[in-house]
Amino acid sequence: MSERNIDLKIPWVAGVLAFLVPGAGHFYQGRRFKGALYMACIVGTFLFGMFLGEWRPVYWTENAGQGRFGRPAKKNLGFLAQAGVGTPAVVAFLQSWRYRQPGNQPVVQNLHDVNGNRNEPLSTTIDAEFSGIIKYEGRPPEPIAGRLHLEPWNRTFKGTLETANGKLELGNSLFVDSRILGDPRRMVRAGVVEGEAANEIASISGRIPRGAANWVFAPLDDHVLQDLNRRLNKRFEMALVYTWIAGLLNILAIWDAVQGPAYGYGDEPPPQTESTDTVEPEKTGKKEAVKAAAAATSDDDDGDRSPPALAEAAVGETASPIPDQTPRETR
Amino acid sequence: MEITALLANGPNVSWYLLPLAVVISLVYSASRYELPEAILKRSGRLFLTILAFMAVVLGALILLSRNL
Repeated sequence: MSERNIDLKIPWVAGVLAFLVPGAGHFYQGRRFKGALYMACIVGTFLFGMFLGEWRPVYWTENAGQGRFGRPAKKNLGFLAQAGVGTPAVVAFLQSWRYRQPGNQPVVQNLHDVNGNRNEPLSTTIDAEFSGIIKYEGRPPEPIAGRLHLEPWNRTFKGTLETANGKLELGNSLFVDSRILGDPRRMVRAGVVEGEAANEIASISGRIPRGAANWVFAPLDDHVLQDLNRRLNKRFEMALVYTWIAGLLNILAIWDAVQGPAYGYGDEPPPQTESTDTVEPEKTGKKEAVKAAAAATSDDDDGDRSPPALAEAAVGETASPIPDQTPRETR
Repeated sequence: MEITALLANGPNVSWYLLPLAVVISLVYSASRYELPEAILKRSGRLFLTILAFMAVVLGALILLSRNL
């Protein structure tokens, strides 16, 4: 068995390291070639999969919870395979927990979601670059971009959108996507108001950036998942396959770090002997010992023992028929 | 479907399987053996085996989808 030949140090430590970072357990054990190979292959496969899926194929949803529009977030059983890669799985668990917090709700004011009336007032100030469209009554939508500023005010909100053409006052209705979601863009819809009466004359709809800490490895809801599948098509499926395979391959790497390889050094040829004067049956085996003993009798025959008998004696004295079970020197 | 059409239909997803086969061969062989020479040699053989298996499956699919 290979365990005797390879110094696995503290196997469970190597296993944990291999789980957290593919190849790290082998580096800890001093098995640099395999550490580098595992790291390059598994991390490379995982990162390529993430790249194909726009860095969003890995997420965990514990239960089919509420999506942004009342639709359930998709269960992702494929995560069980992806989890083998380790660190991303830990982060995905954390993001899933953050996603399920009661405070992670979309801001909804004077709007109806698919479940009916639901008001979630704005609780924090938002200041970000906005790009989207503006729609006036009876006119086709026009693109618009600028600096969006929203702040809570008296259980409702105040807001402005500063564009190149001037400042728009926002009010009346508002929708802002939840803070934690697997989408780098956060959806915003708001009414554009005018005058003291704050009559809504238009509406804006678009996106603001979402911080990486709030979307990387975060759960996707149906809306985001459908968008990814629509845009990326089979590329997203390949992204899933790559990340699944990376996770499953790391299970092999973890096993190797804990238990050692299946065959270890058993494939290597036996070490060459330096001495040529004496025959060492332990190194050369039974047949060689028999041949050597037979040759010796032909040169110096004492007449008392026949060559076959001498050969048998030579084997019996120096070579055990049972293979040597002594472990080789620990590396 | 013609085999040329099957293979030339844009960046066919089948091409994505080649690097996957390489990686699977290397990692699986690395989990079996310890010596770099043994790992590389065995992974090369495993890669060719996977390719041959995929070719057989592709051939079977082409055969089954003939005249469709």
